Amino acid sequence: MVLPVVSCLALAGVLAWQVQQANTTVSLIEHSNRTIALATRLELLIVDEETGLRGYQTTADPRFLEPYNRAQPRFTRAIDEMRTNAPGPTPNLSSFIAEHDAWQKGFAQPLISVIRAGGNTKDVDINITGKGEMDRMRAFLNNIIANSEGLRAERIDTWHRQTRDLRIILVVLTLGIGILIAWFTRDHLHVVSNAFRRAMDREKDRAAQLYESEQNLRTTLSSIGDGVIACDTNGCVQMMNPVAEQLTGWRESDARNRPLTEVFHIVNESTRELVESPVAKVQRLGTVVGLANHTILIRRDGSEIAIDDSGAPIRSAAGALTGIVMVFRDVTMERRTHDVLLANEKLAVAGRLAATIAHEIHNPLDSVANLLYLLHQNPAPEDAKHFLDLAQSELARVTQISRAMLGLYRESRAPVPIDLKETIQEVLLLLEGRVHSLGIHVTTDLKPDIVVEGFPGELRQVFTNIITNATEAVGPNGSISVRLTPRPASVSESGERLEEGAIVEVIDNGPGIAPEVRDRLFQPFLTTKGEHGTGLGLWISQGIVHKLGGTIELVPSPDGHGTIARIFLATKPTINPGGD
Amino acid sequence: MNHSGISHFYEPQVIGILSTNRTSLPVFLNSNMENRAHLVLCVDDEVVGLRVRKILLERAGYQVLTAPDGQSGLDIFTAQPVEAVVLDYAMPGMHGGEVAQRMRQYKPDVPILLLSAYVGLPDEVSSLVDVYMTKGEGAPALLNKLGNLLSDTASNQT
Repeated sequence: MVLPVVSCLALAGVLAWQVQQANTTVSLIEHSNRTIALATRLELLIVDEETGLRGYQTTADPRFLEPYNRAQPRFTRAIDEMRTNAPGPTPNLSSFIAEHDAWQKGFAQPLISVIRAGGNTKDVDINITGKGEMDRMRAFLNNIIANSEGLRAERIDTWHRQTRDLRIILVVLTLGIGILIAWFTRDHLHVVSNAFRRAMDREKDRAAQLYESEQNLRTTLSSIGDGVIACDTNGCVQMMNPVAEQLTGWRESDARNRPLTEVFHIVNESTRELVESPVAKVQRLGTVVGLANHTILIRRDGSEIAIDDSGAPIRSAAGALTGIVMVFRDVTMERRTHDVLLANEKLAVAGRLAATIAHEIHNPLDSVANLLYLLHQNPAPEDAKHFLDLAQSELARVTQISRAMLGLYRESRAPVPIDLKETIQEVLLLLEGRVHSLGIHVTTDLKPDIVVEGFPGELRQVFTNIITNATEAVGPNGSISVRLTPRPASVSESGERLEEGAIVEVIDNGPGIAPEVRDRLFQPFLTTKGEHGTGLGLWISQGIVHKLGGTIELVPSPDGHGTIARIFLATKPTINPGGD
Repeated sequence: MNHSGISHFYEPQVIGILSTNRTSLPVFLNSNMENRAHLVLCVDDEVVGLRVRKILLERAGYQVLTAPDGQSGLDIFTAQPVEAVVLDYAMPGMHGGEVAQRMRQYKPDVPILLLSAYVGLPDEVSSLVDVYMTKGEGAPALLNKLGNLLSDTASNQT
């Protein structure tokens, strides 16, 4: 960086020096010009003097002397000018002036005096002398002129050379500066071009990443086992994966930009009413929504499949809703399996009930049979009465049990008011034999007059399940407590609105629930009873309770021993037909 | 008293009982008729059922001891010269199978008749006892099987 700058500065110095030299040469040329002009003027002046003098000599008329006289001051001025001519060397004029003085004083003035006196001036020698002096002066001047012209030619050559050098230097300097600028800007250009290239590379990378990410998403979407449909905010289909195509019967190319309701036509399984479009629901709620149970998708060809689905909002980074994505799957098989499982569990329950019935009815029947036998033996009248009373009370027991059994299967279509205390007592009566045989101590705290709407048989099944589970958990000689309390409508600590209803709690002092099964309690086929359980009881109980809009949970007892099964049932439930 | 009428309806082994007195001894008219009343232990948690069974057996000529659960039944079994046991299966605490097992350990020769309200009992339980019956089979069946058990024992001992 330094070297080129120094070189350029040096060149500029040289250039300035050259310009100055050229200027000097120019003034020297001017000097030569002036010298030549002055010498020429002096020559003319001495010619004027000689001519005037000669005219006067010839005519003796003083008017002819006028050029001679007029030349005198001019001569002196020209000499002075010549002496002060700068800056070049001044020719030595002393000999010339002396010669001129000699000519003037020694020849011209005496000649004029003679002529004025009227004398004869035609003497050749005198005139020759004068002419010789004048010729010498002219020769001197001519010499000066010739010298000056020679100098001038030299100086002009010098000037030509200098201007040529100047041009060369200028070119070199221009080139140097150009190169310097180029070199100087090259770094900057490098920086700029590098930045540009990096930006381009980044853009390319980003584009590649975007492409890759989109490919990934596409692959993911197309390999997903669930149907996926993405819609814009107007509810028009933007994208479908192959499973969605297969399930709806619409090709993506046909479905694109059509309203979702046309492509994804869903109705309620039982009512056949149009289900609210998930898009509308997402737009209304702004959150992920699940579809109602028992939804049927009507395919393009009119066939139907049971589906389960959910919708979720797609949001921009700023949080604005930019679309809705829906995920759904064919649950026809699942639904069938579910139905089969329900039927199996119902059979298993029926089997268990049959055993219970056998036990509960055989005991009083045995007594009655024995009493009848005794009566046949013609007992004393007071004995006979006693036997008959006993038989009657035992038969009443049978009736009570069979009535409770019937209640278990008396199913109504619409929910009916159920007195929970009565229901629980009936269930406890049914289970009494088993409970008693295991030596389990049962305490109850059942508040009267708590009525909820529901299906009696199903609720009995739930209570039977929960209480049976408790008896099996505590084992022989354990204890169970059954509590029924009302729950007034209120607002929970978390701000959730709590409906009016009832809470049934079955508290056992058994070993509690192992942590590893706690999360899976309500899954089908989970059993801790080995081959004695179907693993469906809690699953079905949950289904029933959920159908009634209630909740069921199993939590560890606060004292660290055993489990609390807690069921909430709403007084006026919104029956959720998909609950089971 | 029309004893023949009864014999017409029921097993012929028990022809009649002396019904005028609750404590009177039964009259056995079959070949194994003995003068001495057998001591029978009844174990059942069903209060009414146990009471009726006691009356029935007493009127059939047995001496009857009762116990409402397995443990007290075992206590009586070890303390008294019980000759046969009528045992209920489903009971609180110890079930009939366990009770029978312990009785066998103590006095293997005493016949045990197991009664159950359940139709099906596990094999390991029914194989423990001499006779297994379902409740509700009727008094004659019970009396017949019990009588057979006692006569078998008697014939074995002679």
